[in-house]
Amino acid sequence: MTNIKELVEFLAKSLVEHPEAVKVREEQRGETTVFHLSVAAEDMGKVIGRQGRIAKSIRNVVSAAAYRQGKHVVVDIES
Amino acid sequence: MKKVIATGRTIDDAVTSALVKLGVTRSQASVRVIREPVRGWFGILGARDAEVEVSVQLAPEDALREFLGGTLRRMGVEARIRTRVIEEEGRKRLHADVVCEEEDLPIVIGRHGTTLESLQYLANVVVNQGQDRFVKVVVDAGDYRRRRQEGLQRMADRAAVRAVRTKRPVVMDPMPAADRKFIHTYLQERSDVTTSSEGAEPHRKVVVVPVVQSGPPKSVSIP
Repeated sequence: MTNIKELVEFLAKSLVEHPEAVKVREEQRGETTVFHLSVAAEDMGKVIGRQGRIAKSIRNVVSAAAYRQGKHVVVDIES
Repeated sequence: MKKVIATGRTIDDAVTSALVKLGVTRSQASVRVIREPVRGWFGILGARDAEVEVSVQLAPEDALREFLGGTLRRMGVEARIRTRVIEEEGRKRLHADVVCEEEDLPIVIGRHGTTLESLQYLANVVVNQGQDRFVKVVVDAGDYRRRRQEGLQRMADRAAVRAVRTKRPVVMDPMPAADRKFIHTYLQERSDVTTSSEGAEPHRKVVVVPVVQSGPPKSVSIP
C-alpha cells in the first residue's frame, strides 16, 4: 500500500536545503485528505518554485498516486 | 545531493554514523552541524546529543535514479530507471526511461502526460541542485514521448489539410504548452498554413489558419 504522506515528505526533502525541518501533517476533511506541508522559511521558494511550478508538480504527482487508491488529496503548503 | 541527518554523543560520533548510512568517506562529504552537543551535569542531567547533517554531491545520473526510483516506489510503482547520457552540441542531456509493469504506465504518465511532465520537471530541479553546469533531464515511460509525437503529427496534419480545404481556421483540442510548441514547430514546415494559440491555460488551443491568396492571381505584364 502506498503511503501518500511518505511520498509528500520524500518529494519535499529532495527539494529543500533543510530536510530536517520538513513536516507533513495529515488531516481528513470529509472525502478529501489534506496534507499540510511545512518547511524551513528559507526553503519556501524551493517547494513552490517560479509561478508555483514546483508546487503544481508536487500536487500532480501526489494526486496521481492517490487516484490509484480512489482518494482525493490536497497538498497545502504552509509557512 | 543526498543528505542524511544523524545524532551522536559528540559531533564526530554523529558524523561517523551519517557516513556509514551514506556509505561514503569523510572526504567525499560535507558536514553541517545542526546542534552542538551539551555535556550536562555528570553527563546525565541536561545532556544533549550532537546533530549533524552530512551530504554528498551525487553524480547527476545517480541523483536522477535515486529521486525517480524513490518517488515511484512511494507512488506504489516498482520501476527500474534506465539512464543514458546524451551529448549534443556540447550540451549534456540526461535521459531516464522508467521501466515498469504495463498496468502501472497510466499512473506514471497521467492524462496527456501530465504526471510524466511533473516528474520530469521535479527531476530537473533535484538533479541540478548544486551542479555548476545545467543538465537537462528528460523522463520517458513506455516510449510515451515518441508515440505522443507521432500522434501530434497526425493531428496537426489533419488540421492543416482541413484548414486548407475549407479555407477556414481550424481550432485544435486543448493541450499542454510542450505539445503546442511541438505542433507550431512541426507545421512551420508547411507554407499553406500558419499557427497561433488561443484561450487560457489549461484550455489553450492551437489554431491552424490557412494562408489565403488574396483574390484570383493577377495578370502580370512582363515588360
